[in-house]
Amino acid sequence: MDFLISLQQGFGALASWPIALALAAGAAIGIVVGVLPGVGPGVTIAVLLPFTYGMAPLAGISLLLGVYCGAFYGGAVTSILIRTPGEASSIMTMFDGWPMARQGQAQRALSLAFMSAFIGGITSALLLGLAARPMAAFAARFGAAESVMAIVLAAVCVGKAYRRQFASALMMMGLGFFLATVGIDPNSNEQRYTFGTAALLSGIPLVPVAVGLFGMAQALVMVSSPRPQFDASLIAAAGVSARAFLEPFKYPRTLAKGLLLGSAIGVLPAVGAALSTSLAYFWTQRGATDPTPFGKGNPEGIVAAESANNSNSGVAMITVLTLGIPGDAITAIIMGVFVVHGIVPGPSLFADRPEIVNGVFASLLVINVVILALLVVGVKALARLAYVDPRLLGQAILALCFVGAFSAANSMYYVAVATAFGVFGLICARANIPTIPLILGMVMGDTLEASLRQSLGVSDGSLAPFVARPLSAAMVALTLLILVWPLLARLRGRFR
Amino acid sequence: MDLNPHPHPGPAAAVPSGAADGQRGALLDRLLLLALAGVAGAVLLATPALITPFPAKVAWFESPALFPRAALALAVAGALAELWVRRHGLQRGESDELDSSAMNLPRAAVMLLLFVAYALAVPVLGFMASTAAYLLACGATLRLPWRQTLALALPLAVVLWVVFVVVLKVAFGHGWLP
Repeated sequence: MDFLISLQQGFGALASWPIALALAAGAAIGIVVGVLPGVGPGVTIAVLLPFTYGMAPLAGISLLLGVYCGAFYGGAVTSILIRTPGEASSIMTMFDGWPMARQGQAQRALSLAFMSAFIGGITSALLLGLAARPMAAFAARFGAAESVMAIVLAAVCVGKAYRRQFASALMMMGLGFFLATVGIDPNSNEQRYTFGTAALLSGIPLVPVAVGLFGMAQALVMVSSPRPQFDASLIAAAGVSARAFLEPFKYPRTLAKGLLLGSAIGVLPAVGAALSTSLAYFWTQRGATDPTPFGKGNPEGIVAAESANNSNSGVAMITVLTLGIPGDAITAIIMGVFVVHGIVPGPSLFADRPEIVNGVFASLLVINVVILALLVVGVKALARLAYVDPRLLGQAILALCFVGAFSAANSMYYVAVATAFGVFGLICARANIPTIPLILGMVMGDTLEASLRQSLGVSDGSLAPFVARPLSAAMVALTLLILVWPLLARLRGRFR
Repeated sequence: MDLNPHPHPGPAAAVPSGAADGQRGALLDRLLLLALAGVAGAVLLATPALITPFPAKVAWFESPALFPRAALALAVAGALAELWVRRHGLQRGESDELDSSAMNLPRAAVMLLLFVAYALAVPVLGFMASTAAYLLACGATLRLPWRQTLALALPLAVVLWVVFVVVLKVAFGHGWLP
């Protein structure tokens, strides 16, 4: 019953022209950036963030959520038609989508992908609506010690998600935590690492850092790389087929596998859609009902990958809304909209601003419907965007990065920060150092420090509360287990 | 099943390079990590001088230096661990965030310089004129077809000017031109 009331309130919150327009614009932009070569949702959201400052909070969030979800759908178009995944999470779609398109079934492949992604998106939004409130009630029992351990656990998960780059991910997370401390200390008013400059008193702003790391670095790579060559013969075959739209329902077990893995993995910080799609794909290979070999145009491969891919979007917002912990760079930037508008994500959000929580839930449902409708109407035209030269897009993105960084505070200082972090992002890309943990560290740093100091202050510097309180102790144990698991696995292997 | 999704030099395609280039790249990567560890370590050690006024007499758990020091220590430890991993050729991971393997570094540097020139020109020349000039200069530098460059530069400059200067009233400065 609560769920239905939340849904009703959410739709009520969306019922205004600015929010409806933002939602539709976000969905359209998301699909376009998913199709455009080299442009991802991260770049787009970073550049669009300053535009949201003048909007109502829910309008800004809906715009960015539209881009986030739209890109998941758009990525499938290029995977299937030109064998170039728009996103890492669309690679598995390509394995069967491209062969199917080569066999003259491009419309069937696209319809399967869109419908599976739609089912994933709707399921994920419903899960958000169902799980967020109980989880917020659970999170309301968190004290400072639990908040610290939740963020530490998230940080370790982020590091582990980078598998072989664990150390560099932790390094960047540490740098992010440090950057969050620059400026006036909110507890004691000392100036920290400001070097006597007025500009640093209010800290290092998140917007130009995100614009630099994700927008400028990506744009510089695009303008300085050769134009990709691809077989464009299938672009003209783009379209959808009404019959194939119902086909995913013929594979309920495959759909269930995709939805289960996508939702479960989507909740984990930083793990993301790429892992869930590959796991769902390989799990589906076992026990598939369609006799077509995988990699040769098996429809179940597309259904598994796309349902897992898009079922990340809604559940990734659960930890943002309930704990204030973003799951990836995109949700971290979306959290920036909350921060700019003075909205504090966490359990209190559900009592203080229910229209925001319910609005996010309802907007995710509506966004998926809008995206599907836009794709049905415009996929033929959208597919032609694949012809656009990424170098042209790159220079346009650079111009937008300037505008986005400057307009965030009408300040050339912001442009300088964006440029510095753009260069840093480029250097990190050359050196295979991930940059997303830096943004996550910057976003979570304030909360982590405040909770840590509060917890230690109450206990007079004792670490006992972290292990004495059951929830916190459980998170300490889980964190340690995640850290020592590779060692334990190696020891187990040696004793076998 | 073909696990290589990019038969062309696309976003995720690896461009084969010589062994010497690879070694030089690995050395530069390690130097970068060393520099990051060094800078973070230096800031960690200089923290009492970089917090003003530094409250030397407060308990460690109430100090404003506690958290930044812990964060910097994590950064130093992470950088040194990564350095050790790469030095010993262990588990070198490829970042799947942003693939720059096909990038031409000198061209990226030129484009960056153009961007800086653009940022400096906006308050002097005016936003619309600078944006159009910047996009035309980019097109010329990248040797893109003139029709495409013009088709992007002029409409984009006008649209951005209308949206940001006219509608959103962003103050880019009073240049000679709009």
